[in-house]
Amino acid sequence: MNNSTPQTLFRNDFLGEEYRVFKHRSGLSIYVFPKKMTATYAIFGTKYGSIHNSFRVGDTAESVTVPDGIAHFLEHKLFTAEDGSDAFERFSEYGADANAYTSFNKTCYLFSCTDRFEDSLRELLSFVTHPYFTEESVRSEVGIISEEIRMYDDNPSDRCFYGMLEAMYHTHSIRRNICGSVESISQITPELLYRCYHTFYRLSNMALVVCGDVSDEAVLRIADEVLPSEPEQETPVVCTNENDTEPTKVLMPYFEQQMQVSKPIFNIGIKDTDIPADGRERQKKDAAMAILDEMLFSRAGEIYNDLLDRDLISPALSYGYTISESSAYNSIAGEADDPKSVLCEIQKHIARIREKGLSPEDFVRGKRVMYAEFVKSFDSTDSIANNLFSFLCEDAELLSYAEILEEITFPEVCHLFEHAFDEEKIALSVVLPLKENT
Amino acid sequence: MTLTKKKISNTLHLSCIQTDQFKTGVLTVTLTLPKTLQTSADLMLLSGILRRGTECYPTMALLNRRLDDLYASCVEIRTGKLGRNLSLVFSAEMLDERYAMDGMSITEGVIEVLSQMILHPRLQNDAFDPALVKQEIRFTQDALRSEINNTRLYAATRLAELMHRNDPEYPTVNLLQERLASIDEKALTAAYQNLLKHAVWQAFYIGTLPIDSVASLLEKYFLPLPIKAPKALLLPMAEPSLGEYKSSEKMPVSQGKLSLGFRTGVCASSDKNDIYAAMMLNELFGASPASKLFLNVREKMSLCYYCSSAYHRFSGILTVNCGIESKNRTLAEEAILAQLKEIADGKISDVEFHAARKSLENSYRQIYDNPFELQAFYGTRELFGISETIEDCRQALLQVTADQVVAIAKNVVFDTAFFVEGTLISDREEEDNE
Repeated sequence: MNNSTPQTLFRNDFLGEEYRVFKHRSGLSIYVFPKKMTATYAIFGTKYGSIHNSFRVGDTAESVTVPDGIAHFLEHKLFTAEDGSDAFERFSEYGADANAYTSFNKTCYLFSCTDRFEDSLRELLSFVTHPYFTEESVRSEVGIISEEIRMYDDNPSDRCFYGMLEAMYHTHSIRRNICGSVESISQITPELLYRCYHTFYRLSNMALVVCGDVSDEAVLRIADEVLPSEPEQETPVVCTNENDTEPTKVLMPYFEQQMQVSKPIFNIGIKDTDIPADGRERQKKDAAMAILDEMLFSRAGEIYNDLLDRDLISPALSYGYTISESSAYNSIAGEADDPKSVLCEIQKHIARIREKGLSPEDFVRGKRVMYAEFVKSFDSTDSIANNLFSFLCEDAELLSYAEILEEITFPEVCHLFEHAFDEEKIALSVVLPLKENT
Repeated sequence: MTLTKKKISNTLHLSCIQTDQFKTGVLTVTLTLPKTLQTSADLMLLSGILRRGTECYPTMALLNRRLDDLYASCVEIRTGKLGRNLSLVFSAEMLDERYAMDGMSITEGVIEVLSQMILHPRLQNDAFDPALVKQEIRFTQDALRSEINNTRLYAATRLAELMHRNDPEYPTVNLLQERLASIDEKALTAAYQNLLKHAVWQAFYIGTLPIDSVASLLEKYFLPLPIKAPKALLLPMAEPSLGEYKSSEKMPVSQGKLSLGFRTGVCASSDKNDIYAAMMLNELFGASPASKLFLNVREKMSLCYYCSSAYHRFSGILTVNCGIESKNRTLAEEAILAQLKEIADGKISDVEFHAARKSLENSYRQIYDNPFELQAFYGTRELFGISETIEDCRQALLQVTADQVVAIAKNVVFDTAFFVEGTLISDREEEDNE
């Protein structure tokens, strides 16, 4: 008998996929997605990322603000145990490939393995729930993370992307680098790490996702072994939704930096503050916007081919819509001699399409592309587990995405298009080559 | 998973793994030639121009629209180095027909598009469109120049160039730029025809369809093939050391990048036991988070965020790449060499050895989950007449002893170092001092 009760079975007969969600008595939600593949993939993560650096605990009116980059710092430090050993070494002993990442709104610890799954899962649940930080270990990590920050500082695409966020947002924490800065991480102490850990690594704020050729019983048995059999006493934690105070307009329409690049690179950001509170509605907006982007910017479309034929852009042009509970934006990124004229031409195209209307044929094609991409994403345990975790962080359900896509109508996409690209919502971030002698 | 083969023509065989494990099917057509500076430049351009339109789909927009209609099927054209040979790879990924809501025959549609791209590109007056060729040359030259945007990649590329400093045919960025500038539409069309006639062709399918169905479709859309006499490919060769050589460049970046190159003397045509021992050496040295480089140079010494090694089995070269504070260059180089010496001195714990073996076993097993990796694994071996399965490799790996690894490590020769010295930090420090 284990300490979890089955909560829900989610199934999509057409895809031939299903998964179960269990609520463990410790408060942890456990997702088991059976998949007959060689590699099993597990993610243990928390809904805590770089944007949660100001919060209130319990009834206190005063909010606590911690240094930028602390969620990412915590991610690095959790791998070291009290005896000085490193979780990586134990995963290696089991033959598992372990890693971790921090994003704006989540921190995930993960492994993939083809053998000794139970040992690796035990290790994953164990090291993440046993923090141990000392002055010395924090100091030594500053060196490693400083090099990581420098590495990203030298990455023009990364800098251009953050430039776009800085140009779009007035005050939102998304403007600040996930890793923080060399200066901000130097203020991190063991006490601050423990404070953030105990605030956000509550099991009720976390989830375990396992995808592979595993049984529910095996996963739940290991959870019973490692996790407490009762939920912790919890005081509520409040993080303000920064979208509530963020103006619709961008902070600045143009942001420029100079770096070592051979040719200018750009990121066009289109801010969206109209974010549905309901998870399913957000998912629907995400799907509709993805179809719209496909209709407008795909390599089969008029805009891309016109810009390329006229030598205005290099062939690699990426685009996409990102939405979460507290931020949403469209972005278009590429390389061009004159990014300002690329934006100008895109705006002209959009104005023309507004006049003549979107094409129903493009809508059908865009929808078909999104449907196919969704089905293809079920070919690896890695992508299934990561998508499942992203969906659960947004209170959305993965297998119903095909249904959501199907529900979207042409008039809905046309309605979305009406104001999605208003000029006041657009910011252009550019990285230019260094001028001679600078 | 069983690999089967079927003859399409005297010069083309289809290899197939029929499986319902994936929701996507993969079909790859690979054309391989011995690598020269000229073929390197030609194939780079062909990988772009063959996407720009065909007889039936005269523009890129129409070609992409057709692929989108085929449930977002994707055809990637890329060049791939296989030691002293070079391939032009046409790789198609398509949704399995079980998921086509309108019963569309996606595989047939994709094979038709592939045949158009490979055999029927849009020509005018028997040559590629000169304006498109000029544009593709610009794009390719821009792409080569943009390597400088990524200093990690730039350092690795410069290291490879320096390790081939005596080879006038090695396609360095500078030589490629020159060669690209000299190509026109007639030369590129001739290179395209030469590729069709003299390359070694391979076709590989992984998906739910039986081999006979795929073979029939290939016969329908690809025959007759224009192959005349495929050129003999060059066998892998462990390149000899040219003597120790160090070079550096200053750049306005924050982080220094250090790349070190070694010669192992062991390559894909060497004795099998030596190949697996060399792979184990690389794993122990720097290929995983349990490796000596990760645990010592990164974790204990806090010198870098990344420090890893890679073994290039077609040339026998072992490389190390790391990102460091520029002032730590000597310290990092000494630390890296010290870790290699530890292995050569036999200082390998049972825990380290076991972890390296498990990590490689894990990598081999994971190939079963990825159709592109399956294709790369079997396709490469087929090209050189090596018949081994993933399980054969895993078993061979289990036989490797620590003594064999030490023996390989003792013969590893340090060859070349290239360093990108980041000047931004020192500039900032100077400003702070003022």
